[in-house]
Amino acid sequence: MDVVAVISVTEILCEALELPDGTLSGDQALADIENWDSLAILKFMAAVDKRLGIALKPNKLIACETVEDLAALLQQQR
Amino acid sequence: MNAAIKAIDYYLPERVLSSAQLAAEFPEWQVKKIEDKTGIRERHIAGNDECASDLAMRAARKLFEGGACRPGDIDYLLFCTQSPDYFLPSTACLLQDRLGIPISAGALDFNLGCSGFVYGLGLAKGLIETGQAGRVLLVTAETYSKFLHSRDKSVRTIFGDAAAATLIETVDGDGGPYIGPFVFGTDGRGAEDLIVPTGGMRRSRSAETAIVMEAESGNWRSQDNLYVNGPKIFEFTLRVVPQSIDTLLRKAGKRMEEIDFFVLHQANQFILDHLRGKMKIPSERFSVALSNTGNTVSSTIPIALKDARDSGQLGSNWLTMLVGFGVGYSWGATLVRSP
Repeated sequence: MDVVAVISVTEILCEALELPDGTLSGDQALADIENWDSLAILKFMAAVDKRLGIALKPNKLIACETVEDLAALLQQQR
Repeated sequence: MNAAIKAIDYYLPERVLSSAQLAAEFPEWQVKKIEDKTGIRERHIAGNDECASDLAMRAARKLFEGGACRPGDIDYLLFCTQSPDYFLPSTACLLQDRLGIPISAGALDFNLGCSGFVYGLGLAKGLIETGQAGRVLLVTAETYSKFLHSRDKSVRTIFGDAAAATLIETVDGDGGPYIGPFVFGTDGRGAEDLIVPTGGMRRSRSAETAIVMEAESGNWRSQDNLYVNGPKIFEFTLRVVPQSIDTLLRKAGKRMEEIDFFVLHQANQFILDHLRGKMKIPSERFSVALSNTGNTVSSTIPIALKDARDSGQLGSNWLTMLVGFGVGYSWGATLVRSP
């Protein structure tokens, strides 16, 4: 996995979930992140759209299990 | 011969569901969390025996009592609902009789959700500008609350019941049309993302479809209830709304800066804030009018227009962009100037 992609996705995720920077790592399971719920998914989609102008595919987003999966999805839709 | 919006009024049912009441029912939620997410403080809920035609009748009577015109002046009634009183007859026929609209008037129902008001304006403009009608009463009315499961907080926090009545009539216009041009769109691939699966001819209601099951994020519903796939609807909105605005501007030969005021379908505050930021629209030119109504489906745009006009936020003859989007998927955008 591209390190830069993982870093940028953790930044966006921290912003969306209002978590301090650097609190997430690439192999972290999304299910273990507090606040990762249906609202968080919308907030993450909004943050990605705002920063990168990408409307993430919801079915693929919901299938993601780790932060790295999110980074891979972002790369794929870029 | 130009069609223009002459007057708008609306009716909200008396029963109120506040965020505090919802927080009491769902202890894991706080009032602040609900209000921050949705921008909604209270929603109005139709009574058990109160149907779309009842709300519609009250909205239309308010319009007539306000002096816009008399029932006898209406020669066409367009009624938009997805929660009709009956499969048949058309609710518009019931409403014609109850309001005392002449029997020489045309009347029909059309079934659309959050895009319904924009489509209704398109139909009304067509009727008036081809000489088929002179005064069209467009009524939007929904009782979505009857589709919601009491333990589904994802939708109970959002939707409220309401009806709006809008009078569209011929005006002597200089300087271009008062309604239009239009952009429309339809994508039935999204049908299952916002749906009441049973109750029509495709799937009847039964003991089996009424079984309540736990769904995402601790919400509960049955097949007889309204289902909204939040992420799919959000993604649809992100794709379609900015594109529709761009297409409409091109079609009208206008730039963003020339639009005096924007009224988007009031889905919820989260979506509105995001779209406003994305389209770089200043907050003073952008309507957010759902705190004491919730998402009232096809009535959000006329309610927002009336509130903005009454509060002075929207001035006379301002060029206003309207964008409706949602269930179907269906969407539409247009420009209006109201004298």
